[in-house]
Amino acid sequence: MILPPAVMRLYIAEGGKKKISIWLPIIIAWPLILALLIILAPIGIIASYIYFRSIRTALLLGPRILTTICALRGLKVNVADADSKVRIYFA
Amino acid sequence: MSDERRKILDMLAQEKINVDEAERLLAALENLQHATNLSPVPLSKGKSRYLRVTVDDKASGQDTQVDIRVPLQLLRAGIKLGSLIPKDARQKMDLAFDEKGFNLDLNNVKPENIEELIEGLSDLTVNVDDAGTKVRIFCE
Repeated sequence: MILPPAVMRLYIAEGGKKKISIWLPIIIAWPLILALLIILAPIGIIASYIYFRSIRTALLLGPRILTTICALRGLKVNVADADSKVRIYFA
Repeated sequence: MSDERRKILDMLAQEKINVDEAERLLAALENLQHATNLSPVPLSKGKSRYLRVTVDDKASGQDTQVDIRVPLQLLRAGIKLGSLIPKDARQKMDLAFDEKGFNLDLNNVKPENIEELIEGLSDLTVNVDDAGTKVRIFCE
């Protein structure tokens, strides 16, 4: 079982100056997000069926999106050149 | 002192090579050892967890460095999510890929082939070193 990422780190610097530096403990928000998903699941399934016209897609879309979000754990992107730096990290 | 370094110094002492040649050989040996040290030892076949792409580009004058680590689990999840793309949208994507010269038919990438694809990626190692630009792609 893969757990969702607990922390997200976003850092953007340009011209030597820090533009954005975010450290988000998203683990705190997961219980609330999970509760909202459970409440909104029936509406989401109906909306997916109306849009995609497929029961299979409507039922699988939500779980697969969640699986993809959980798989973000460990993603690391570092890009740096002379003028700017971008760092994205999910832990 | 490694055997290779000793051999180079012995050749220099015996005047088989001059100082410039010895220096070039030692520099090449250091680069090779450095690249070998950086190469990760895979845990075992099929146990790799991340796809790593590193680019070190000094050729453009901007000294750009890129280091991306993608969890292989994300590739699995992305391919499974991609299997839900509606048929007409998938056809448009295939056309767009074709226009860019990328011949990939997403209909042929099925979730049951994912493990085979990931296993193949685990054996993938790309090392490009060209006039100030270094590109490495590997699984760890």
